[in-house]
Amino acid sequence: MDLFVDSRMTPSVISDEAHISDLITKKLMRENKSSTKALRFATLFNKLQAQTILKRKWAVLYFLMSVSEQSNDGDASKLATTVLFYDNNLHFIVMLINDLAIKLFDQTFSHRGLESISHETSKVTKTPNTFISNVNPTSIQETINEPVYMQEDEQLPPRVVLQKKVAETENTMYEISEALLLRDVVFVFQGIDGQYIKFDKTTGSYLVDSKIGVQRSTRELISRLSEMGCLYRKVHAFVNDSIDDISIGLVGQAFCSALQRELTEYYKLMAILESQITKETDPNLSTQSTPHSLSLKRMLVSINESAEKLRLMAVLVNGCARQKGGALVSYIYMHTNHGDPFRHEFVEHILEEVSKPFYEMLQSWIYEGELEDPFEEFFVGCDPTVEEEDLWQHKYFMRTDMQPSFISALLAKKIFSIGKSLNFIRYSCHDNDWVTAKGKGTKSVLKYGDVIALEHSIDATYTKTSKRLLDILFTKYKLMEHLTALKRYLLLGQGDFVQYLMDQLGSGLSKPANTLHRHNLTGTLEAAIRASNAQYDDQDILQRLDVRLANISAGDVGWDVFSLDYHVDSPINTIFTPPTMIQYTELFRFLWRLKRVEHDLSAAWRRQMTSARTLAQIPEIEKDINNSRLVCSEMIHFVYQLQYYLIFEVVGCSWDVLETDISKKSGDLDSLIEIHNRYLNDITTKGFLRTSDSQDYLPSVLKIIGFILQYKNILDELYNFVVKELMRREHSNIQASRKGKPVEDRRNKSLDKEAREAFLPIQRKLGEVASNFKGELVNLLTELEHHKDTDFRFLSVRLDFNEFYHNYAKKV
Amino acid sequence: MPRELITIQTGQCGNQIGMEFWSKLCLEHGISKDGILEDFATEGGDRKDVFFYQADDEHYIPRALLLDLEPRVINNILSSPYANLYNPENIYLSKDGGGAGNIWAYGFSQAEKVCEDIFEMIDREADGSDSLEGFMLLHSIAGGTGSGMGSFLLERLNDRYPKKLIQTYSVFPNADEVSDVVVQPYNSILTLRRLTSNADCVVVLDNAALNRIASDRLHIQNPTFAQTNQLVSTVMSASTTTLRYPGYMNNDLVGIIASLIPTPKCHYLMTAYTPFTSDQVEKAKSVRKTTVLDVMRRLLQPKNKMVSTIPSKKSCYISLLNIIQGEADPTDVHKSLLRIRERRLAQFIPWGPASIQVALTKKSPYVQTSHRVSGLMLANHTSMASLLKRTCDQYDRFRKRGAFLDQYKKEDIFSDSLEEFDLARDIVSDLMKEYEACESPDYINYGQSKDGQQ
Repeated sequence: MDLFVDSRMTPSVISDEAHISDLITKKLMRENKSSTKALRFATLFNKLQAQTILKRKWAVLYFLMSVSEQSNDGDASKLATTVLFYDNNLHFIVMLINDLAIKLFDQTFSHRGLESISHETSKVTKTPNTFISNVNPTSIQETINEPVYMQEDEQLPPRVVLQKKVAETENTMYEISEALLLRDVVFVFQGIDGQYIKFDKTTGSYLVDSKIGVQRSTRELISRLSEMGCLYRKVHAFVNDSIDDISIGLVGQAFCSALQRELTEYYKLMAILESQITKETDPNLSTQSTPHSLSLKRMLVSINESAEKLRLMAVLVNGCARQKGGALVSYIYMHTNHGDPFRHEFVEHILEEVSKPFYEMLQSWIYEGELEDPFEEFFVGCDPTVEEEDLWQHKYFMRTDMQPSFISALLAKKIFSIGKSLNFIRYSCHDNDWVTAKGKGTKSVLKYGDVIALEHSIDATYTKTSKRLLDILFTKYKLMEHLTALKRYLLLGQGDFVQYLMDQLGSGLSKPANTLHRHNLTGTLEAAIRASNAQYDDQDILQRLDVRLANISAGDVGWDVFSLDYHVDSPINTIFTPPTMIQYTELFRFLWRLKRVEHDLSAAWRRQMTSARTLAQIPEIEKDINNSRLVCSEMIHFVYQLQYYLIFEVVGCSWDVLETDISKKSGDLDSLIEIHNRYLNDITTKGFLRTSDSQDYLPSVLKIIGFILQYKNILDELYNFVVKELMRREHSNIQASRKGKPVEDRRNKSLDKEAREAFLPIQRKLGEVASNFKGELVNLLTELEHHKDTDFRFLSVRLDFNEFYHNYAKKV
Repeated sequence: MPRELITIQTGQCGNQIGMEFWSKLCLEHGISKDGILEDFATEGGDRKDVFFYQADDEHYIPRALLLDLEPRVINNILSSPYANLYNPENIYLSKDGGGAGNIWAYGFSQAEKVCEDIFEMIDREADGSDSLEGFMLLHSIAGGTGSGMGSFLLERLNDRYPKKLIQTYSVFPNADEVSDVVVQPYNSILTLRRLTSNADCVVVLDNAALNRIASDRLHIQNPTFAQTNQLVSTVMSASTTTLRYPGYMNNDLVGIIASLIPTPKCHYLMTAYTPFTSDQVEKAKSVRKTTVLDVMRRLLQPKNKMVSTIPSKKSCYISLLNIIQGEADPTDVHKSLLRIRERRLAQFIPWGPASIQVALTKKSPYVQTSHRVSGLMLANHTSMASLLKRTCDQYDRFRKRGAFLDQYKKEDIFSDSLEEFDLARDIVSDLMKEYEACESPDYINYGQSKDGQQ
């Protein structure tokens, strides 16, 4: 094409598109026996004619015909190609016209190879030849550039306009030959002052000495050209300064080397220019200018691309100061977002190189879990002082400022998690082999470019690593077994074990805390394991069970300080952290208390049932006994319903959620930790009746429990009184029968004075505690009944299913 | 240390239900007919030692005493595949083998005569337990041995083990049809006295209801004893699941019945079970969809109850426990409870808090069932009074005529007078009144008002 564009053929035809089209049709018919091609041409031609914005349609056609003939002349066998050529080009042009404005098209055509044609016919006479005449004979390219230059001139920024005004005092005589200036310019390109052109520190640019006779246009050209020098100085200085500076990091080094590489390309261009100048100014050779000889304008064109590159490099150098690592990558990445494909590609090219160290770090992090980052350039950091115990939680951290902007936060999190998981597998789970094998195995080399592919690669690795980590935890470290064990022992799910423990410890725990001895307690614990189904549990799990005694403060009894404990070690202590274990302990204490109340009430109930016949022998207190049974059954109801709520609504439901979430086996260790924490928090808030608005019903529940325990003690007093009274009566009956008196029928009689004195305080206390209990319970229920949380409302339904308390409260 | 329960099965009915019960437990725990643990029974989680103990040779032996005055049923057991399951030392057959002739008094006095032999067995079993929780008596109240001997044992057990609980599974006669045991009203009233005074918990199973369920639910006309006994054994095994598969709650007998029985006398529990399928009873064909709500709703329907009571408008639940077995979702329980309350499907006492308790338990991994969830209800319901009233009425009719009393007068206990009958009648009617009183809010003053009456 260039061939045509450059040539100045004058057409020997009439400028009529119909005529041309006839010629083409004939030619097509001639060369191509069938009429299909001609028909196709006719269609396209019609389309072309329909275009209103295109003025010189004949010119288009003529141009295309010439092109086809040109190739045809050389080789007849290219016939097929020719036809295709018509097709394609016409088609192309039609499409092109659709897109372009007519002005632009006209301009393009007039400045291209058909220029002379336009002279003959067109009204478009915007020919810049007057300007060109001042300078050396020019090439076609320059004629294309000139009008653009003129236009730009009009739109120059004010500063430059001012500069130009100042320059009006300059010597604009033609004294120095362009060849000499060219030589200078090449020096300037390399940041060296020339003979006439020197670096001016005040303006920060290269200027031609104003006293030297140089034409104004030439001065301007030089000032445009010398921009290169400034840019070069800047880039070169940056590279020079940084190349030996360790603190700029690996990414910085890569940046320097990328710049260096570009500069080398630039030096090559300089060498070519220099040799050309040397050749042309060599007096031995002809000094006569040829159309291809070097001129300032020609030079401006030939360095155009390099100038653009230098400009970009200068921009990058300017902005990157003091940035390193991921931040630098981000910065350069920002510059790839440019509409100009040239700029875009160039910066991408640089970025590819700059990001290499970053990707190497990324690779070693996600494939081996190693951080090879001496200058802290990667977005994952490591705190070497942190113990392996805390590896997952605290050893690694994210440096968000080092996170390249083309890596999304989600992706970064995944990357962070992958390496962390690898380290966790290696150091906490002691599975070095897998990590090593994985490191050696298939891995795709990561480099800048396709972000989607990177995401896929990361996703795959993330899934694989996380799955492996969870697999290890669930198989080798039996996580599910631990969760179950905690539920069975610390949350009292293993009823027979808890029962035994309660039977054995119950009485001892009522004594002052300092009378408890750890070794006795652990002995009981072991006995409880042996005596219950716990004995069939895994030995590893049973060995973790232990007794914990909290710090004793004055006045504490055993119940206040005793709890079960479950030992967790690395790596599962990453999930069962000390705070979560404290939560478990708190839950244990609460449930254990409830169990104790249930246990006491069961004992009281049993005593009531089995002593029913003996009690009938003291009819005087039958009413009180009967009453105490009903109170007792209310208490049993409360404790049972509260416990049903805790097992089903609280622990049961939360456990179900935990199991479903875990069975999905998606996500990484973090999500597993979160699932477990959520499970525990659910149980704690619902179980302790703590609401979101920090209302806390636990004290109320504990108060009720306290009343129940008090009541149980008074009941014991009552039964002791009964036993004593019965013995006394038996004794007096024996004495009476000895004395021959008839055995007294005591039915419907009141107690003796002595017995009454012993009984009355018991009766009073029974009444008091019973009403305290009921009062507190009704209070709690009224609160729960109208609570906004459905779980609490449901507890109130459970505790008052037949609305007994509701009606009672209304009556009171 | 399990809370052991010693099972005492007396008479024809008691031994028949017992046999079904033990074969059912064996199946559920993976114990072979000879008492050896099956190879597949490795799942654990179950507690066998509440009902079994291990002999020196690792055989599992039921903590059961088989007592009868006639040899037929026990001989059947001894010629069955389960012959080697039981401890032969725990079998008592009367020497003459003539049975009690359906006379309560004969059974009672026979028991008195062989009391020492029997208590030697009981003591041996009790000593073999680490922490004996109590006794389970299986019998019918209509015949001679189960009622008479059972009554005697209840009295004596109370004296001998005053702190142990006694639970009975008592089969009540079919009041609607003429029984082959004509004197059953006498036997019943005499036994009811002991059940009221000497037992802590009576699970009432009534033959009329069992037959009704067999024909209505299972479409078996004229069910055999074996078939109705399978119904009973199903109920028994279901009501003991929480003891045999320890969970958070209800792990011992007290844990189950403490919340069901607020006052000592009203300790008669009715049961309901759903679904009955061919898994439990041979030849039954009735499989349906089972959700927790379905099950809980059906348990409240009279047609599924294993007692034929006639509830009045005032009848209400004193307490109610649903034992749900299988794959029940805890959230379903929650929804079902709310639904039942909304629809007012169950009426409760007005004088204290009462609600539907729900216990979720495991299902035996060794028994395949076609339904996902099954449920047992244990309930203390005031309509029990109607059953007592029926028994009293029948007794009164007989007593007025003075029919069939000769057989009773032969025995020591009635040789002087028939006062024993009147005493029993009084106690039963007292109980009846107490149940009726439970329907009123004034029950809280019940003891007092009774004093006032006297």
